[in-house]
Amino acid sequence: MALIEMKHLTKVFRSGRLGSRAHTAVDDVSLTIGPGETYGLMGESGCGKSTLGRMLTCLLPATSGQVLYDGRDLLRVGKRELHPYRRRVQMLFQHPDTSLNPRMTVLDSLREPFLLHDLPGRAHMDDVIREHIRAYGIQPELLERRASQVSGGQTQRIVLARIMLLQPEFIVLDEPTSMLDVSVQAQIMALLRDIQERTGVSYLLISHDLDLIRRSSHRIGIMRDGKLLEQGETGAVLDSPTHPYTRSLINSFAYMRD
Amino acid sequence: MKKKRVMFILALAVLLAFLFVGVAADLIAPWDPNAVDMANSLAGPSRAHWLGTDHLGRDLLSRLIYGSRSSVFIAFFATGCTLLVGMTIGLVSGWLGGWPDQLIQSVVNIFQGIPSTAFVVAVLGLLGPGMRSLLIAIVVSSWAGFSRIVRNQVLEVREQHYIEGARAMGAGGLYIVRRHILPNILLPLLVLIATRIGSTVLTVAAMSYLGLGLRAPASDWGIMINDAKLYYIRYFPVLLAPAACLTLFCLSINLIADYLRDRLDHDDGAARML
Ligand SMILES: Nc1ncnc2c1ncn2[C@@H]1O[C@H](COP(=O)(O)OP(=O)(O)O)[C@@H](O)[C@H]1O
Ligand SMILES: [Mg+2]
Repeated sequence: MALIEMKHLTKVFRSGRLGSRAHTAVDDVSLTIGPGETYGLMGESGCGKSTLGRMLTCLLPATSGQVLYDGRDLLRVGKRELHPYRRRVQMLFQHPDTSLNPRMTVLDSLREPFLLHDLPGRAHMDDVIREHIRAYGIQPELLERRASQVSGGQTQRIVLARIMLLQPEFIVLDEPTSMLDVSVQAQIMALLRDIQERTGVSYLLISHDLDLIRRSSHRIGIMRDGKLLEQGETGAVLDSPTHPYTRSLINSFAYMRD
Repeated sequence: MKKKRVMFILALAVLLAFLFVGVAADLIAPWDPNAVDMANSLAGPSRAHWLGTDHLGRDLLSRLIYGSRSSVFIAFFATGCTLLVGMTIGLVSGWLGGWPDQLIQSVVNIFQGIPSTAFVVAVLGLLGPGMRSLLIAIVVSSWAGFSRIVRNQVLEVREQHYIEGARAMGAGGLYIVRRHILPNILLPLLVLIATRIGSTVLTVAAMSYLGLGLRAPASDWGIMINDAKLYYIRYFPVLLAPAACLTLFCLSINLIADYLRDRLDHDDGAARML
């Protein structure tokens, strides 16, 4: 059973005078993600991965297509009706250095879910936050710091902890570790796996790193120029790729590992 | 840096002193600024008149003190109004983006293309002199610059992931503007506000001098300089005193702006677009 289902999702960016130039960033992408599943979306920079993620989280309107969640098309529900879905569908972004408001303390940032949603423990949110962050490897001293004084790896932990306060069912992970050191990368990926085991959350893991995708995803999709070239079980796609582009990708990564 | 800090504190003290003098003018001023005493005109300093008197025998110090009230009050109030208009339009333009932004920016371009002094004179010519016309003229001629800078800042800030993150959590436009956008554009704006207060004081003085702003017998530094132009040869302080106040005020406000700009550059380079 699918948790979230995209059907023929397309995004055309228009620019120039009166939108004279059109650029199709996401081109007729259909895919489904089940509960507790990690779907790895692999593609080179600029192929439309972030745009796809933004449409799924309703940060960007789609040009055409559907995003079915719970039997509802998220792209066509009103603002008011969308609000409860905002809790259930979340996104972790690529650049930690702009993921937290630099003029706010970490604690202020972590309070935001309580201000926007009627979460349990709202009356004593600071206590809830202090208890909550322990599972994310965030030292309590960090709470008083400004976002600008927090490292990239710590920022991703904080943003993740904040997302998890909302108890989401589905999270878009948009290259969550591409800006981090290798050792920190491994820690964040381990934390993500741990969260999934604990809560059964589903991920759309976006990356241009085939190795990372291979190790963490149940199923994968290969994207190029806005199109989904092929998809399937991770092992099946990597062992017997059908598209020449996928084959060349696998070869280049095998080469890098030698 | 240390020296700049000292200058900043001095400048701030001077600014606060002008403000205090303006607010408490009724208590501080030894004379009624409009009390004429023709028998005692253009007199030098004395026990009764510390700075002497002008061509109508009015107490120079009292006129300076009331002048501080009018000049500084108008400058702050006009800048506040300009800020309000410019910031609102800039926020809307930057936040909406797309064609509304393009439309608003075309209007901004037109307003910014007109030299501001000529613009103020033209508006005053149309509306006639007076305090209210002066306020309107200043706002109409300078909101565009404010809105352009606010809009550029908003465009920069709105691309940041924390804005997307807030939207993904279900935050509405007002929440995001209040909690995420305003706090991040306010500091750079502070520099602009300070600079603008300084230039507004000069504009007010210039317009009053030209007879387009406040009119005699109001006490205003610009009017005092205008009055002095026939008499400064006989008693120089009638010109020196208001000119010195004007210079000191503008100098201190510019030192404050300069210091804030430096601080911002150290902070995160947010002032580079000013
Ligand atoms: N807001 C936008 N306006 C116009 N073009 C955009 C916008 N966002 C992305 N694009 C374009 O869409 C394409 C895909 O971008 P993106 O989804 O960020 O790629 P990826 O995340 O795979 O690197 C790029 O060519 C990019 O220039
Ligand atoms: Mg991207």
